[in-house]
Amino acid sequence: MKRSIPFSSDLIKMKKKIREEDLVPEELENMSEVLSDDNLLYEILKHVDASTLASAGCVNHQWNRTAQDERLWELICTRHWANIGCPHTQLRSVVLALGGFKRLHSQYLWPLSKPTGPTSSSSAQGPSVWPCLPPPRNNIASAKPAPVKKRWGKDEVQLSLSLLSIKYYEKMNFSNRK
Amino acid sequence: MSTSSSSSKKIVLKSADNETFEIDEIVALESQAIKNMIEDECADNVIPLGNIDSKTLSKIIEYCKKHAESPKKDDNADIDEKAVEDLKSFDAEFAKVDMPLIQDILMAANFLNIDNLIGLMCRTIADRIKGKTPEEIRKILNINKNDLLSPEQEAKAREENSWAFD
Repeated sequence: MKRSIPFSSDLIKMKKKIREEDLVPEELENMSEVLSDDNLLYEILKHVDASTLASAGCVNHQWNRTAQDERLWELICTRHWANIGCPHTQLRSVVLALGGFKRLHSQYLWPLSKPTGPTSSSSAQGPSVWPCLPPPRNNIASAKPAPVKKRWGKDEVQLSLSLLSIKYYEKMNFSNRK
Repeated sequence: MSTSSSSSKKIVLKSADNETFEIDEIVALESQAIKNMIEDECADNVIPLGNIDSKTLSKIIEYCKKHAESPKKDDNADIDEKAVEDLKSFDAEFAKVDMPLIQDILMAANFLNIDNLIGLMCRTIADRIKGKTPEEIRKILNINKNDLLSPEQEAKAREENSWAFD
């Protein structure tokens, strides 16, 4: 592009134009500025369900960081828990020590609530998470997906906690043997 | 439009684009930030809000008016359910605006420290991203692309949550 010395009025116009062009990206930045506040993003993610939270973890670095927050996964886990007669703080310290709520949810609670039942999705971690359970309803009612379970009962919560701790100790042994 | 009695104290808010809004003090007190300013007696006649435009500010005032008028839960235990329902449906209507405005309102409510409104806007955004893919979330919220995960990082994040992406 050839540059000619512009007349002063043109110069002003150009400056103005540049300024206007500057405004656009600035405005865009402003928009995401809202959500660049970690606290606000956390407040938003408090209200989403498990699969949205997982999806949120892939949006960008900041979302990824925020979506790892154990407190959010704790909310997801405990939202549907039946009262198992043990104080929340106690439960929290146990779960956090054994690997956290995110792991508890993805490995043990999700397969429970998943409409299609535990299939190949988690092949990385070896055999099915619920080897002891017969695969009942899923086969029978495979035509129509079973509704997502709204609430986990006492037994389910306790079983998933037990499995979490078993897994933890298995791992410990494994690394010792190594 | 103002219907309040002349005895009530007025507060004037000035938006970034220099529009002024005269409101009853009781309405302004919905904002914890303004409340603190008033209590510390560091509020002049006019409170300038240099980072809130008039469109956003008028929405916020609409919200604060409604909530200031409604009976508060802690005022007395048995407020009638109709008022609660009324406020709920007001909130639902209030949130029916486009995403840029929701984000502006959220940012302003955060600045002004209006807890209820922050909650309402966060729930609204959460509702709109529910069940969406990462790409859809970026698009809905117009998230800028400066901070994207690298393909490897995104693959890792998806792997961690593979249960959700089947």
